Amino acid sequence: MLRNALERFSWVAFLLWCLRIGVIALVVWGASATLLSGRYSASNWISLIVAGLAQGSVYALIALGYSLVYGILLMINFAHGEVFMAGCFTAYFAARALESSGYLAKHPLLTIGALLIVSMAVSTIVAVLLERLAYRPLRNAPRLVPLITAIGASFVLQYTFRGLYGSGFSAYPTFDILRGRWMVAGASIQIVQVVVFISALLLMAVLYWFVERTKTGKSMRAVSEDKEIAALMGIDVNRVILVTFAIGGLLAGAAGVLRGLYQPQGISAFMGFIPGLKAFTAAVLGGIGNIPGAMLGGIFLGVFESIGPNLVLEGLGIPGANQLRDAIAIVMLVFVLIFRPQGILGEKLSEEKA
Amino acid sequence: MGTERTKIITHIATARSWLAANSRWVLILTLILALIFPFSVKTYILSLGIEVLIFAIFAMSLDLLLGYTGLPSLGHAAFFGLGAYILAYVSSNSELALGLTDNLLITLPIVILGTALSAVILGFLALRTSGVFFLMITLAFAQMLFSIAIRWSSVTGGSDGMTGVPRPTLGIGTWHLSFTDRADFYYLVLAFFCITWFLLRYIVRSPFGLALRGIHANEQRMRGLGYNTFRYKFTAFIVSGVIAGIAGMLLSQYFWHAVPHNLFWNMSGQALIMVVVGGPGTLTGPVIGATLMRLLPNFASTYTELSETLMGLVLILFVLLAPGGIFGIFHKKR
Repeated sequence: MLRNALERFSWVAFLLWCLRIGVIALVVWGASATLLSGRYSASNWISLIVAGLAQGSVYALIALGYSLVYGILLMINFAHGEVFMAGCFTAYFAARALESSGYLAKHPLLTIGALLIVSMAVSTIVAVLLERLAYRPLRNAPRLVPLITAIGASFVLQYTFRGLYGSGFSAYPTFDILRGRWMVAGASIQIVQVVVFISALLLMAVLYWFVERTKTGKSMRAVSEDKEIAALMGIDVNRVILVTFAIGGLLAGAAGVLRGLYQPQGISAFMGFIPGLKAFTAAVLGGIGNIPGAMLGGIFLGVFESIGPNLVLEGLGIPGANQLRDAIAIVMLVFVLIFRPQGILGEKLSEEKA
Repeated sequence: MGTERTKIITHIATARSWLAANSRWVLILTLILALIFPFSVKTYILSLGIEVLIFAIFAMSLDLLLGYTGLPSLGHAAFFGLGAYILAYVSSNSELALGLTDNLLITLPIVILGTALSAVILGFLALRTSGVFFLMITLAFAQMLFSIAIRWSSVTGGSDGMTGVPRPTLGIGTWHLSFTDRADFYYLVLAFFCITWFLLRYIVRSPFGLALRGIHANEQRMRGLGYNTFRYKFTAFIVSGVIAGIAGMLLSQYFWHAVPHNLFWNMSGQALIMVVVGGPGTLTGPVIGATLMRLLPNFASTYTELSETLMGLVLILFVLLAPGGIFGIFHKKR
């Protein structure tokens, strides 16, 4: 018995298990140290969680773009972060114009609607162009080839937008109606965070309805099952793929405006890269290709990122924990990809899909 | 149109066979030109030449992974930047660093050890995955180092990086060589370039290199043949990481500083563009690609955005139209 176990022993598996246990132990230790010290009250945690929900719902909207495309083409649209940037950055100029003309102060809700339309339109155009120019010619090439054009497309988009709009950082105007705070159970909650979260949920519900209930949604599901059979059933596969990219662009554009509402600062041509990476993490976390998975993965990542620095890192005694927010998502990405690439909700990936 | 096309094709075919027949002479001629290069050009062009050589080393190291083994790393800047930062930490005279020595006999082994160690850690984790996931893990690793370099300013110098990196010297006892002068430094970089070139040529032609190509073509079959493919990929990953680290070391010595930009994904992306545009799976290809991609910003220097946009466009065009890269057009793949 013991001999058998010794023969099967491998250093690689041993090290990987140590790593797994070590990370879990660190998280548990940090969290319990913080909770036992009683540094933060329940109301602190509630505000952090609500902030995380708002942030996470934006990640979820971007993550859906990754997941939808992966579900149909088994391909990562690496430039999707740039699709998000394109809409958000363009809508910034619309917002500035509407603010200086005084329209924003008079009709704030209509302004937000206009921004959404501008941002979603630009993001959709960029996403559709990407599919048409960079991905469609390579549809039958080995899987890595479109990924390389995607990196090129990322370069092109980032630097073209920097050339068009300038290289500095800008900020969205603030909306007075979203500025206040609500007191819920002793915790103060920013209204804008609640609004962002609920609008994102609405969009996701519309998407879910679209995919599950409409004819186009049905053909999307059919194409993701099997492209060739779907084509034989009379489905225009190219059109369905284009629609998928367009939906991803619409959601990313909406995410851009929502981000501008609750986090006005830091608008630049390079703003899409890190949210893109995080949304990819979220998509993998929920099981890539899985639509509810991407939603839950995004929200989970947002909440964990929001409470993680205070909960885990401060408990471990790491100084300046709040600056390490990005690192949490990146570490999470690495560990999910290594230990659970099928995600939390995802089915076991077959060799063909992995 | 039709006759034009056939004419071009015959021209290319002639060039191809001529190159194949005279490859040795082309090599020797290139080497002689490279040796007399500093005497014949202005300082501006000389510094461009140094940059091109450093980036050629970097691109060749990535090609061992991307072109030969089929591992799409988008985090190669991690090693490039680490090489730069380790050297800066050892030899820079700023108060953040140790400022021990600028002697290559000491700093080079430290850089090699440091980058090898990080390649062992990253390779051990990242090589459990393949394809997109490998790309994303390597990207995440480099991005993590980048954010550490930016944020942990008490150690890394923040966004200003580490300044005051000296050009290297080489000395044992009383015998002493200094590479402070630009032309002298050019010869040092050229020496590193030649060593890398011949080392990589030796590696890719050895049974080990053939096994790497086998893994590129069909990993499962290689495993079926009894190869421990993980071990091969792991070794290639470490070698490639160390060479990239040396390129980063040279860059920081050349520019007198190590900056976070060396770790940024843009740098990995540029290396990838160099390899794919030049010709993946060859050694000449990345050198051509590095030359082209370092010269491009100088032609389009009035519009800095334009050069990077062009880079991306060139990459897409090459992937769509000439997947063998520039080298692949003039060289039939065996």
